[in-house]
Amino acid sequence: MKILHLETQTGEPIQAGENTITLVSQSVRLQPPGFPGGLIWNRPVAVRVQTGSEPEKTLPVRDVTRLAQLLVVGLGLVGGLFTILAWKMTSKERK
Amino acid sequence: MDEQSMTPEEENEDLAPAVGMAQDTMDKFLDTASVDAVFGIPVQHEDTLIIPAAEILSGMAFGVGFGSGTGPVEAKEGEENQTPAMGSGSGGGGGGGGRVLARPVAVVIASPQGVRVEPVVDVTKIALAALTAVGFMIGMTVRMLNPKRAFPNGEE
Repeated sequence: MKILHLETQTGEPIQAGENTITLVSQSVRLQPPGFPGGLIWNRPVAVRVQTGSEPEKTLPVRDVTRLAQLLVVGLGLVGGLFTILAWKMTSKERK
Repeated sequence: MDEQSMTPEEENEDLAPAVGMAQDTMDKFLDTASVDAVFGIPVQHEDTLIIPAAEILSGMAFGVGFGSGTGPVEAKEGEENQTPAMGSGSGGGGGGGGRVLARPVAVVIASPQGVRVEPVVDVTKIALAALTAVGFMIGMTVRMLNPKRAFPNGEE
């Protein structure tokens, strides 16, 4: 029995003028077997747009806030590690 | 065995409604993993259709328990000849908890000019992450500048 389930769901098409919009989301479900509980993480993934007879376009839904947070925290960690390395190198030179 | 004490089968029968209710709630909880939970109801404004999109994190857990016990009750003074009464007791309980966190991610805008996805930027969250990163770096620098607290390899 799987503990982690990854599913992609597609919604009903929505008509907006000439455009037909289909919403796509993804869910990650953590449910240990026999455990009466679980965790579900739902997020929007993409929007599929069909305009007239043109080929279908897929517009990704980017989580800019999450990307910026990861970037800032990543830069902080890299900066911290770089400071440690620089300190160790200068202390060896002084010896 | 005392008449009032319960067999495991009887205990299971007592637990059945609680477990059933927990399972029903769990099933409803699992149904939240759908497109409708992530994308909001479309809002029509003149020629423009707006669909909000959010990230949803939800967690839930249940627990039920049942216990029973028996014990002899000492006979009172002057009633030594009588059969001592047997004590018994049983109890059950259950509990559960959950939390739902939702955060706007983007807005889908469909207008006569076309369909576009506009991101929702939470400046407060980014600023908090930046403050944490800056705090971490300041902490590291202060620690290295202080010879007593510096890293072992960096000691002079």
